[in-house]
Amino acid sequence: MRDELHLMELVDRYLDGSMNAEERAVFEARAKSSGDLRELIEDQRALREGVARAHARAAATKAYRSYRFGKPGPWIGGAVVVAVIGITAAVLMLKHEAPTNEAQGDAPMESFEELLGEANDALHPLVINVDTRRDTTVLSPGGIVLDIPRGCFTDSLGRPINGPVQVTLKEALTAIDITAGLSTDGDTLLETGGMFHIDARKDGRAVRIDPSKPITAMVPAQRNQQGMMLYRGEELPDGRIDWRDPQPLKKSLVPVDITTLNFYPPGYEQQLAELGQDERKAFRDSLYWSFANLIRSASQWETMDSGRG
Amino acid sequence: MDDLRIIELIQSGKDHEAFKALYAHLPKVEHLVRQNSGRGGDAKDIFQDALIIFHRRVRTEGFALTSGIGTFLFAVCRNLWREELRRRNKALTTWDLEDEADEPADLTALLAREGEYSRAEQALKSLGDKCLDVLTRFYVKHEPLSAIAKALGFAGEGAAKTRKYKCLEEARKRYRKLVPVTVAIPGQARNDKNN
Repeated sequence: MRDELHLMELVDRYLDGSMNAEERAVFEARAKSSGDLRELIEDQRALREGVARAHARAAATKAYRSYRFGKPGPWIGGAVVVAVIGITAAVLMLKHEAPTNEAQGDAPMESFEELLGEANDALHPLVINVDTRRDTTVLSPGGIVLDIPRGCFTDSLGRPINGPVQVTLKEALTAIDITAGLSTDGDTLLETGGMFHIDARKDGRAVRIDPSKPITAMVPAQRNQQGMMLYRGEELPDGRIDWRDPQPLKKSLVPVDITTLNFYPPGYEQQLAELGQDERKAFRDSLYWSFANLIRSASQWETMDSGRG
Repeated sequence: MDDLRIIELIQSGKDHEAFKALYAHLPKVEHLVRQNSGRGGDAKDIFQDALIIFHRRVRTEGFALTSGIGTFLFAVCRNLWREELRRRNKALTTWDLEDEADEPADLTALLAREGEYSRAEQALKSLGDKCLDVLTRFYVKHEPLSAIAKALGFAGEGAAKTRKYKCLEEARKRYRKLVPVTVAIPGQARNDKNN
């Protein structure tokens, strides 16, 4: 080990108080005659305190969230329901494009205002009053489809919440929105395909999501980018967001060629086979779509006749 | 939660629980800051600094509680906010000299030291998460080097040790490059360094 590193180790032992009396006396005598060593001791003392300070700050930040969103109240004592999700992609997402990338799951606890930081002012929120007694599907201006199942919101004790819950969605899916103030941190560079943030409150108090009834968010993507992952945003003390816990995306909607799909009514293909006309799918499609309207109308008449009878 | 219980929690490493209880003092600080050109977010930031200062004070050898924790935190926040306003070329409008009567006697020295530690924290954070993780595990959590090596995927204890010292060495270089920032009154800031 280099001399400097050995010296730093000695300083650690001195500051820890783990030197015996003889070692300590020799070390202090050396420090007395060396300004550099005295400086090293003071610097190392400050750095050790700096480490403790960073650790305490992280604990204080977490405690603040618990304090702010975990207070018991007359309605619910829940924690904030927030999901901030970034999706890596080579290009920015465009709305109206398939496939969709589906994000699902339990939400981390974060402060809505803090997490978006400066971007909070720049992004326009979509506020929805959700009736918790019904399933709700929301299409955002940017093209995110939120699927909010009935009874998915609970208080901190896991009791279902009745009545309207205010859900706020902020999305940054375009280059302009993403650069509006959303800054990130981390050791590695990420290409972002966009981010969104959900906050849900009942009478101003944050609520939780029942893990068995997750909210599903379908996010538009321009193309199926290899390596695209789902990240959770973690706010850093300086307000930036660090993207963590990459998870594979669920892709429930996969584009397929419509001509490969089978919309035929029961018995149609069997009838064509009996007539020896089933060889080409293009022909089967053409025949079906040419007469489907008539077939449907005939069925309706049949139904009406049955009803009269 | 009473003050002694909070101190017990910090001394036994249950920081989260202690800090959560201490945030009950935040509204008073928010009021002070809002009355003096600030916003809720400013209050939150200086209150967090005050919590960290209190946390270190409790961990310091020979610590004794000489005033209520709430009083201490408020006094620290008032000084921090006064300093922040000075940086912004503003002044406390509701500053009352009588308020200073409840300040701890060593507050100025305490805040001067915190300026140095804050600089050290800044230097350490600039190294990235991995270095900070190694140093936190070693200095704060007191994990053995073998456990650190295993947890962080180093080849062995020696590799963890080398990484730890290299991180510390680099942090020192960056620490020394940073311009000193003190939260104490100029002229008094560094006199108490060795207290």
